[in-house]
Amino acid sequence: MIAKAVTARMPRTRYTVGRDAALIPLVRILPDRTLDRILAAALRPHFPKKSK
Amino acid sequence: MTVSTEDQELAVITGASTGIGAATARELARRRFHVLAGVRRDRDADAIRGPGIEPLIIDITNPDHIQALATRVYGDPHGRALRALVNNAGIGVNVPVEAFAIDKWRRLFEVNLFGHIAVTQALLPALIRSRGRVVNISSVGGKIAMATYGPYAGTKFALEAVSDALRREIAPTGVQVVVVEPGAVSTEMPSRAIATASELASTMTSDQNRRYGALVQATMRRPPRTPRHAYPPKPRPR
Repeated sequence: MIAKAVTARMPRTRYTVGRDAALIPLVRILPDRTLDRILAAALRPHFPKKSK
Repeated sequence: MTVSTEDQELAVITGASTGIGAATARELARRRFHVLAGVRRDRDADAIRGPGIEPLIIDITNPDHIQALATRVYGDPHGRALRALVNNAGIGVNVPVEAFAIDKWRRLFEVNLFGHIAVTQALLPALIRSRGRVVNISSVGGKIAMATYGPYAGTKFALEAVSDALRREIAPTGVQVVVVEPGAVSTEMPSRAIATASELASTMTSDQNRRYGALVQATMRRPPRTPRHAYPPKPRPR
């Protein structure tokens, strides 16, 4: 991908790599508070057991 | 690999010892570039050295190293043009805003932001001459700042902004500025970030531990282990 960014004749201003990076445009249109909830929920299963 | 030097061009990449940097250096060499690959240690230089890859010791926070890089580029023995500068060096760290000492904040910005600006400033005249390209390696962290990503995302948001301004400033010269935003990529960065995080976790005050202990642990348990979709590194043994 980076080699493409180096060599493409008409490069885009931005390239994303990988699936989670491809979600950037979607995530950016969500309101902050919605994103707060989604990110907290994504992290929750990883919290140590017996959390207060 | 025997490439006649006349039709060959130079590419500079920093942070080329491992991960995305090393893979890109090899790929660019495969595409017939003469790659000046910035690494910080002699053993990393020996590891990356190969056909089309000339390692240079570059700590991008060290002005002498940047000067030496510029001297090498402007004084290329074959007079080759500089096609691209890939600003790839970077440090990952996951730590709560409060728990990251201010001198460490500054140090992180030195590497992840100011270093890239310094290298870009030094090589821009060469890039303008060749209508070359600046490729800045940002991150999903350049667009989204999750908990514990404050310091890292702070540097990457800043890099994105600087890239936008630079692109608009130098468009008339024909130099392109491109931002690459990788998501989860299996490199050494996540494991190093976790090592740093655990080190920092051990220095948190008891108040900070109460506030962030569980969060820091949760962050350490998340990537790099979970993402099955993580972009695999493509080592090209030669």
